Amino acid sequence: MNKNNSICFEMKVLLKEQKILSGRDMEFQFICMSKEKDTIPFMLFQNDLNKPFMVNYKGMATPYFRLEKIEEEICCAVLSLLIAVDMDGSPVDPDDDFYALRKTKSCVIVDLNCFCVINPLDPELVNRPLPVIEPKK
Amino acid sequence: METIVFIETAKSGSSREAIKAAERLGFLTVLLTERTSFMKQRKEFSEITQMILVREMTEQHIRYEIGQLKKQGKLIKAIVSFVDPFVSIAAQLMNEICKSKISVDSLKKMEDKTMTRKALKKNQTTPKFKIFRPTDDLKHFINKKHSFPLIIKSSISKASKDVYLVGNRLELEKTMKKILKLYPNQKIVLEEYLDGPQYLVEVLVDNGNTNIVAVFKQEITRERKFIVTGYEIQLNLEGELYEKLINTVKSIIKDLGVTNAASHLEVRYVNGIWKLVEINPRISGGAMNRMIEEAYGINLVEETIKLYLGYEPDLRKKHEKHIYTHYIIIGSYGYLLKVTGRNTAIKQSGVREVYVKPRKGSMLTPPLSMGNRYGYVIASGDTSEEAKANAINAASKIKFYLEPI
Repeated sequence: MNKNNSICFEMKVLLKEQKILSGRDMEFQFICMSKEKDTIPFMLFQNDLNKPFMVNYKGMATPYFRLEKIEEEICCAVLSLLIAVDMDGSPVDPDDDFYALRKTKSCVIVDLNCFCVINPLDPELVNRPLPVIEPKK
Repeated sequence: METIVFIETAKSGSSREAIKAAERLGFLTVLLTERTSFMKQRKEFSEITQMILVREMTEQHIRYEIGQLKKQGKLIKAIVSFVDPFVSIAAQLMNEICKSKISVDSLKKMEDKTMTRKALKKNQTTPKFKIFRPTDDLKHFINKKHSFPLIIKSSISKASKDVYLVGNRLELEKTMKKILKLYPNQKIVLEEYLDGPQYLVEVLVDNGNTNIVAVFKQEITRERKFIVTGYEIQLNLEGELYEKLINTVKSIIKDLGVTNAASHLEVRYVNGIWKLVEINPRISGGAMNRMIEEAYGINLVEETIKLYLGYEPDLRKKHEKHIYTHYIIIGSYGYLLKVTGRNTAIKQSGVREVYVKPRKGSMLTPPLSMGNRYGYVIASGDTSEEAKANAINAASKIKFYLEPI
C-alpha cells in the first residue's frame, strides 16, 4: 500500500465502518437494528472538485458507489455502482435531485492513487423505501 | 379608524375569507389569535391590519385587548368570530360594545350540543337522546337500557372530533371512558343513530326572517369516523322533500329564538322526517363560502358581517350554477414529501378551484376528523352529476407522496 495516499487509508476506514454498520462480524446482545444498512455510499473526486468521477450504467452516468473490496498492496478498489432514483423509483440524472440510491451488480476497479477527495453520503439513502402515494384509489 | 375585531381564524376557508371581506368593505382588521404559528407567518396575512397574540382566549383577555385598541383610537364597529367556540362570546361583546342585536342566547345554545338538544326537546326534528353528566355514575348509566346503535359525542365536539358510532354496551363503555378522559368536566350526548341522506343548510336570519341561503347534499365516508368528503349544491328546492326541509329549518330557528344570526344545520331525512344532526352558530368552514359564491354569486361571510353591522344583507342570487366540491382524504400515515398534479387538476374541465392544505414535512394521517381532509376541488357542470364527475376526476390527479413512518 502506498502510505502517502490518504484516500487509500480513508477507504480502509470506510470499509471497516461499513462492516460495523452492517453488523457483520459483530454479535450484538442488545442492539437490534430494524433497518438493514450495509452501505456507506460515496462519491470520488480527482483534482477538479466540481466534477465527480462517473461511470456509465445502462446509458446513464452515475457518480455514486459502494466499496466492495480494497487491494491494499496496489491501492486499488472494487466499487459497485449505485444508481440514483426519484420518488417514483425512476433513475435520475446525476445533476437532478434524487430520493434514494439503488444497488446494482455492476462493478469497476479503480486505482485509488488517481483520487484526492472522497465524499461520503447518508447510508439511509441506500435502498430507502419509496414513498407511499395517496390517495391510492 | 373603523375597525372590525376577529377572534381566531383558520389559515384558509370561510373564516379567513371573512377577514378579507372586512378589508374589502373598508375596515381596519384586527385578529386576536392564540396561534403562534400565525405570528411567524405574519407576512402571509396581508389583509390583517394588526395581529395580536393572546396567551389564552378568555373573555377577560379579549376585553383587555379591545380596551387597548380603543385607547389607540380605533373605533370598534364589530367583534366577530367564525371559529368555534368563540362565536357567541364575540357576539356577546359586540352587542355590549357596539350596541348590535345579535341573538347571543341562541348562539350559545347552538355552541353547546346538550343545550341544543334541550332547547329543541319538543321539536319533532330532535332524535331520541340522553345526556350524561360528569357527576353521574358511569357504570349505572352504561347498564341502563339503550337502543343500539348510538351516536356518542362530547357536548363541545366540532369538526367530527369526538363523535363515535357504537354498536353495543362494550363499545359504549370504551368510548365513554375515552371521552371522559379527554374532557372530564364535559357532558356527553348519546343519540339514536339516524340513517338517511345528510344535507347541510346555510341560514342567515335577518330581523326574524329565516333566509335559506344554500342547501347541500353531503357525501359521507364512514370509516373510523364520519367524514364529509363531498358537497353537492341543491339548486332546485321544489317538491315535498324541500318543502318539509324549509319548514323544519324554520321551526328549529323559531324554537331557538334566533332573530339575527348566521348558522348552519346538518339534517338527515329519516322515514319521511327531517332530523337535526347538529346546528352551529356560523357558516361552515372550509370551502363553504367559496362554494356558495360559485353557485349563487353570494359572499355569505361578507353578508353576515353586514348583518352584524346592522345593514340589510344582500342575498339575491346573481346566478345559479351546479357546483360540487370533493375533499381529498388518504389512507396511510407519513410525512409529506411532495404533492403532484395540482396544475393538471386546475386544467381539468369545469374546475373552479383547487386547494391543497398541508405543507412539505407535515405529518399526514387517515381521517380522524374533518381537519384531516387534505385538499379539495370545486367544480361546476351543466348538471349536478357532471359537476361531481368533474370534481372527482380533477381530484384524482392530485397525489400526496408520503415518507412512511
